[in-house]
Amino acid sequence: MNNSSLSLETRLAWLEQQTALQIDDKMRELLKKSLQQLDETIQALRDFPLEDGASEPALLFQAKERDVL
Amino acid sequence: MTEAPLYYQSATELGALIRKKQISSVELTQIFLERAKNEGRQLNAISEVTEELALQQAKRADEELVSGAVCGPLHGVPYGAKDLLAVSGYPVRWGSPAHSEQVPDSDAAVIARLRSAGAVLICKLAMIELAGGGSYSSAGASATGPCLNPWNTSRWAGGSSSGSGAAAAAGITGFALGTETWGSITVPAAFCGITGLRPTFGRVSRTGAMALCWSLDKIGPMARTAEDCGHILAAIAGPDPRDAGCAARPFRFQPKKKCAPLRLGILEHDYTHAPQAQTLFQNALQALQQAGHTARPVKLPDDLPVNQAASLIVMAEGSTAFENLIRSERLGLLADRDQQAGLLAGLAITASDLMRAQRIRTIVVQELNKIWDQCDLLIAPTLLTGALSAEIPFREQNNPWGGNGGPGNLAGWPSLSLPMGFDAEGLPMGLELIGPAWSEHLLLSLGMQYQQRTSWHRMFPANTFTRS
Repeated sequence: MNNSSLSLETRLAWLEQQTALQIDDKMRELLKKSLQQLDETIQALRDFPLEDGASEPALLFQAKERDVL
Repeated sequence: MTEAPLYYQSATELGALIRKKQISSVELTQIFLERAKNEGRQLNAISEVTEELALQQAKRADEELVSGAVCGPLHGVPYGAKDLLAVSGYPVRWGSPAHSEQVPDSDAAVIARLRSAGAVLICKLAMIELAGGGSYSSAGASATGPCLNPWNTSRWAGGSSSGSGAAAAAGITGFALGTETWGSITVPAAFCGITGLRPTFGRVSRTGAMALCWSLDKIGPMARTAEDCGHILAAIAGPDPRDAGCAARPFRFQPKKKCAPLRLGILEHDYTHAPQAQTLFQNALQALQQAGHTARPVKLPDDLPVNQAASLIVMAEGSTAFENLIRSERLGLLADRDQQAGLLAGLAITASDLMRAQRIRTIVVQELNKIWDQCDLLIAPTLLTGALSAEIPFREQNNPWGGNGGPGNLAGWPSLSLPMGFDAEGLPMGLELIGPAWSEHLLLSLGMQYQQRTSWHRMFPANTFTRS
């Protein structure tokens, strides 16, 4: 759902609908800030070049037999 | 410096006193229980005192000693555990006002292992709610209020293992267990002037521990000395088939093994606004060079989105771990509204963005690990600042932060934070040693050597913790 092409208001409404929470004005402001920070993080990751069909993700639980993650 | 009272002795020394029968475990436990109930409460460091269990365990430790059965160096030594570790029959509140009613019916793996090692659990220790999941904005983000720093009670003990740092520093417990996802052992260790070990990811079982981020969570010791940390790690480390992230690797601590000369890689920091950290760090480096180690600057790759990948993974996993809470009105019970917002926002992360972060993590970790061709261990100040205010929101405090947590935690590397002196305000500052995966023996060996040559770990705070 987090897609910077969607407006913050759209994403706020989606979160509100998903959680059925009553989001007050103060929380709306804090959420906007959190979503903006999240957008910056996601953009930095999207700017990192990855090849299609390659680049295996780090597995969550691969410490068993390996020296490093 | 005056002679240290008994409760400021290291866990190793306390264990030796018990084995020599200079004090019984029950006597020692009663001393620490009193401190937990008084000094511990004054510092907001306590979630629960486990008095009945403690006296039962101490009595058993004394009986075993009489019969000649010594479980090891921690036999009879009182300790505290961060309140995200389950202890059968006692509340586990995760520092959260929304989780005050949970009472597990079994012990976390590390609690069971310390019981087998003869240690005595005297209290559950305060923490930042949900170990900081969603990101918090002030020291007050805890069901027990801001945990105060024993060196200056207007300052914070650090987080999220706040009570563990304060208790170990203030002689409230002989040692403590903390956990780290990103900075939660090393930061309170540095702020409180104690020694904290973040083990390699997978070194210690997390069975029975609250999950914040399955691919980054670690449990580790917080104590007075590196030697203490070694004994504690030896007691809690090792395989556990119940934790899929726990490695099939044993750990043996060899405290008498000499530290061979090491190549230390100095991590760069901008000291423009942190001259005291720079001076203390130079002094620490000098002590290590005099011990025969070499040191030269090294640079981790700065063109990789290390912190962004770590941040997105923590946020996504954290919001998943607490999804039931987030989708309920109980979310509003959390003390920190920024944290509520952060947890909620994490639900908006898409699967593809999380997988992208994990794909990047693979590449980033491969690149980060190349640093070990240049050096054996990395070294830097743990942080560039002493403890932050316990009252003012973090964003209004302009202290230079520094920090080395992103790369090490993303790559699963172990780290040891040791006291390296005090700033002009009398606040402790930490020295951080970071090693490749499974190099705890090197970190501990160098840490012990450093502490043989310095006395910062022997300092203790004034014994009055009334709020200033």
